[in-house]
Amino acid sequence: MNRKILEKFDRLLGGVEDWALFLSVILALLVALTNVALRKLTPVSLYWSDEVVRKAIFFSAFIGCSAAVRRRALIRIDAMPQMLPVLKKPLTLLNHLAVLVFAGIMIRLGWKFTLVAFRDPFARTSTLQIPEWWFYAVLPTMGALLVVHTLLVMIEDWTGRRDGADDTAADQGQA
Amino acid sequence: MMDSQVIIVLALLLGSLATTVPVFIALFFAGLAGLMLAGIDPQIVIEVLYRSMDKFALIVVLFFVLCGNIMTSGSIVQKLIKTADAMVGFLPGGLAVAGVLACGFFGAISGSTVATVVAIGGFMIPALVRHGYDPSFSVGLMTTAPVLGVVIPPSISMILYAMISNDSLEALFLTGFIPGLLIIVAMSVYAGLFCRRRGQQTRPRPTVKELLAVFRESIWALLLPLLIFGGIYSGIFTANEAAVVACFYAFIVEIFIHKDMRLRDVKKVVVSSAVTSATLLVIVSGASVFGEYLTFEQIPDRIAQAVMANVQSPWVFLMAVNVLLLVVGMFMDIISATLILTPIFLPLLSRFGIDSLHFGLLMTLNLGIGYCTPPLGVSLYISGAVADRNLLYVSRSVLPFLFIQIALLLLLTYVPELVMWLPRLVYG
Repeated sequence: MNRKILEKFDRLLGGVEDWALFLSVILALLVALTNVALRKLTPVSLYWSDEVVRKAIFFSAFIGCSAAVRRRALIRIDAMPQMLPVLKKPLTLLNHLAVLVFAGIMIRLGWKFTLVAFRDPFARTSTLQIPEWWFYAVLPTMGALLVVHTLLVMIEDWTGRRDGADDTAADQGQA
Repeated sequence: MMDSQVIIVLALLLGSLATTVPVFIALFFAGLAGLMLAGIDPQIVIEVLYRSMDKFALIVVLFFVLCGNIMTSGSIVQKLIKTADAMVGFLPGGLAVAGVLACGFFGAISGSTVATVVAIGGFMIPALVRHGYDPSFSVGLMTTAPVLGVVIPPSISMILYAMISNDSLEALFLTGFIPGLLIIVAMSVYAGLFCRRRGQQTRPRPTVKELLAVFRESIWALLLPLLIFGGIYSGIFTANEAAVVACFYAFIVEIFIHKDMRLRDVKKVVVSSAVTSATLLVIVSGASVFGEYLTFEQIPDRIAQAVMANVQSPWVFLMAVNVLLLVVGMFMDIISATLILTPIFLPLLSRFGIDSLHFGLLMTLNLGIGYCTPPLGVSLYISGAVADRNLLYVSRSVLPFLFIQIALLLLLTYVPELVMWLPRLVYG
């Protein structure tokens, strides 16, 4: 029963993340493309396009990072478990703990910074005047998502649904 | 006192990297620890992370990754291989030479060694073996030729190098063409000689009609590199804009012309590219935090002074760097190594009179070769999985090709004109 609820939650969270990533990349692509076309073909250009593209990439990088944890796709150097396979499981655990510590730092420091930006009425983006705290809030949000994803991955490892598998080579294949 | 702090930070970085902590987190921890030990408010790391990702230049990483993924999801890769085969398949070792050329074509659109191993090697190794080519030769060739993925622009490691060194990305891209061509020629000549000695049968030369039919079928795929480089070097696009236009073009070709990608596949490809580029971009942010610490402690300058006190000759310096990078390339992915080491090497280049564009190419090629160097290069494992061979077999297979590539690396190191001629011709 618990496992089913967990799997449902995992799918739901993954679905929300996927759509957020898809929309941010498509937004960046369409805005950048429109601006290139306008600049080359007309005397007009979108003065706000650089800012939209920058913020979309910022968002997709940090939310994509949490999705990468769920897919076990973060780049790491896996020479040691290849040389000493006996260390694979303890190193996988250490890996998860490092992500959790990082996530904790992001939640704590990121939240503090978001509050500072929230209270500062002048902290706004330069062209569209969007409050900067919206974007600072991405960091503690990423931290929270990292915690959830890492715990899900740890449960998978613990219940043996996946044996602390190491995806590094395959994942780096895309890099 | 300060030196013991530096040792602690370096030990933390190397220890984290060695124990499989994700690279960007290892860099973040080391940078944060260093800044805290130096008495700086840790809050600064949030600002550094924020600013590091708030850059328009990063668009090029995301969109060249997306472009590569669109190609591998659709049929552009198969069309590039077919074209290469039609062009050179009749030569001695024809299919093998076609494999090398296909890596070159793919490298002119994608920016990664390992993506090239997966896309081209995954198809070519079984094809070569099926056509009676020596299995060890086939595995070795298709494990090492994909270095063309990073040498021939666009190259993701070159993009990140240019961001750090403040070199013109368009000029840095130009450094890769002649070395890429040299690698294609050298590996093709070796493949031809090897196959001729082995008595490999050659295939008949295709007729002009057959050639035209293949070109007609592949024309949209072949226009993609032309669009990217024609656009950049005719001054129509910047490299950033070329990445955007190339993605749009690849989508249109695969969905509406080749009809090998359905609209519902688009979301899958976009999300997978966003995740892949995120794994690269967060390393940029981790490296920025670590870089903040390096700058605060003036570590690159201190290393430069120490090196200058012991090494006087640029030749010796470049040889030592080549050896170091080959070793680093075996253990570390090219993106992390570029981001960590570039700020350390940069201050030394001007002191030794080395052009940073030349060095950028050497670093990229060197780390690319490290990817297929036994016993730990990532490409060895991927090829092993594709060919269903163990690490020892793949390691032995790559040796002749590694000798060729290392010889070329030394040639490019000590004859910089081969690297710098094209950028000087275009940019003066």
